[in-house]
Amino acid sequence: MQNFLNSLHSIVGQIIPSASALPAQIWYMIGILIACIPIIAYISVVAMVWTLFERKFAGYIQVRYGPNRVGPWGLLQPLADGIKLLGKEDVIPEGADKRLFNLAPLMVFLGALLPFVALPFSEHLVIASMSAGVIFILAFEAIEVIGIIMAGWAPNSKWTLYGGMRLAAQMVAYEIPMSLCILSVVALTGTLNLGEIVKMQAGAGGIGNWLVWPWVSPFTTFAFIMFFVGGLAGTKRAPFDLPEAESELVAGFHTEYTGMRFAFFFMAEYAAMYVICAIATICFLGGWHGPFREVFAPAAGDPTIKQFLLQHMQQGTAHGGLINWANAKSLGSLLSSYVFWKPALYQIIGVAYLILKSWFLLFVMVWVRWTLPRIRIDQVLHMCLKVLLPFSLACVLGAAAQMVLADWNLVQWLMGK
Amino acid sequence: MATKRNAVAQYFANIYSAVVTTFLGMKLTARYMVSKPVTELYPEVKPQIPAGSRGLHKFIAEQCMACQQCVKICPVSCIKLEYLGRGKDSLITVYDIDYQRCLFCNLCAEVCPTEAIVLTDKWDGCSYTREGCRVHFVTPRTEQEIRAFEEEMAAKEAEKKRKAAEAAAAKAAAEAKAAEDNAAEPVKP
Repeated sequence: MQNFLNSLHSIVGQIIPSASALPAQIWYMIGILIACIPIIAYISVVAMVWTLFERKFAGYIQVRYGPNRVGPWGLLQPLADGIKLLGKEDVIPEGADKRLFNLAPLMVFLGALLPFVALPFSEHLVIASMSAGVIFILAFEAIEVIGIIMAGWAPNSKWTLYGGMRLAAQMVAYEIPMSLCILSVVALTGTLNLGEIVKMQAGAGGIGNWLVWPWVSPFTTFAFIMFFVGGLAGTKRAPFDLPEAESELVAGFHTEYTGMRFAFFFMAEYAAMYVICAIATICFLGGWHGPFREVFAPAAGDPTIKQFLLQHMQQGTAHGGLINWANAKSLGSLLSSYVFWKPALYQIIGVAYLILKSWFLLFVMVWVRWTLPRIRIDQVLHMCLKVLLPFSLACVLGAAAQMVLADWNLVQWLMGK
Repeated sequence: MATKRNAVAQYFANIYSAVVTTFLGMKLTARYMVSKPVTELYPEVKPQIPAGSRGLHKFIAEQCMACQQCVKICPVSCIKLEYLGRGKDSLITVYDIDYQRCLFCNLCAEVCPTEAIVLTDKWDGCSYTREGCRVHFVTPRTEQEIRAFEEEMAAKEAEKKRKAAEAAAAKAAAEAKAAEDNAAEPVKP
């Protein structure tokens, strides 16, 4: 983030020389705003698109078409859903606790939205590259739990209370195996920083060194599967969706919420699903690495994008600054130089790989939802405490043993021995 | 009878069967996901109606002989029939079917001697009002049509009367001639 702010400062300083005199705090705020807008846009796109994709894939699994009336392939359906939800009457049940009722969707949405601050999209594309990024993200599940307990209690209804309590138990219980699975990864990579974790999975053609492959470490293969299952339970997705069971509790803890409040819960669910899939991609599936990306890797003598732009803007006519930058000819020569496109393509391909892998995991989540029947709440907790917890502990022990005795890549170590 | 396992073996067997059945289920749903959906995309694709289906009616006024059989046999009395004249020459002025009552039981078509009323395979009729559900199969006759019909009927009656009168006159003439013939012959001694 600091690099981004410095670059922003220097580039804008060239165009508008007076602006570089602003204090650093203003630049910080401007930089944060510019960085957060694409993230918020991306979350909205993910939530909207995956409400549609879920219904479409549910349809195709059930040998029917999903929504296909509203746009080609139903692409405008999320828009129609949004308009419908905005137009609904805002009902607060009698006897409900108004403050909690209003606050609950915001808390849940907060818990789903804030992890995006630490989620990297590429080497340089992260809002805050924290040294304890993994723990930061996993901690926000706890804030979601508070929001859900509030949502279950506030409407003054025993059914929502049942749903809220069950869900709180489920989410809190599944945080443990999920964190232990991430711990196996941390044991092998030695860092909690998400960017570093991905960096250590580089090499071997962009694919071979991912932590999900058994030849790198069989313990993290199991950890991936258990993290995914734990993620399904933590985001209350099927087969663990008893709290929002449509046929048993009407809609569980969000029965009494209508209109835009319901839309908050809905979007928070998809945002949380995306966060889980993104963590799984970053920790296990090699993040933004993939085949044919290293062609564009920055070589030693290449200028960075910032240096290139500054250099480019300082050349030219006596009228520096704004006019030089807006000159079509100079812009043309800028856009047509490979040196400009190379690092940009490197980042763009990285982001594309990350999004592809996370969306594939989201697709698997949808696929599993429409395959499996619902699990009873005592079976859910049995599975967490009696199956996932012991096995994830075993994976942590195995990963730690591997790190001490062998090395990062098990097969390479065995062959080198 | 299931084999009696100890708890540990049962625990691992449960985990194994959970994982295996999950994968089997996902394979099945994947196969369904790529197979062709069975939905008929109405209204672009109309459904196939089997032969002999009973849908909305079709009434041919020229064939109807106003025998009232359909009206009498309808179990819900949804047919209204009004006519001028008699028999095959009658002019049907009103033939309504109230689709709020009609069962599509086909009795009216079965009993019609001239097949003037049949049930077709047309199924998509609808209306926003109750009045629209009472379908008029005969367009209301204009004054001229009714007058023309009545004149035609009167003409036919007159024609019949004339013929009857002619026939009577011819018969009377023939009888008179026969009597004359009989009377003209002298009685032989």
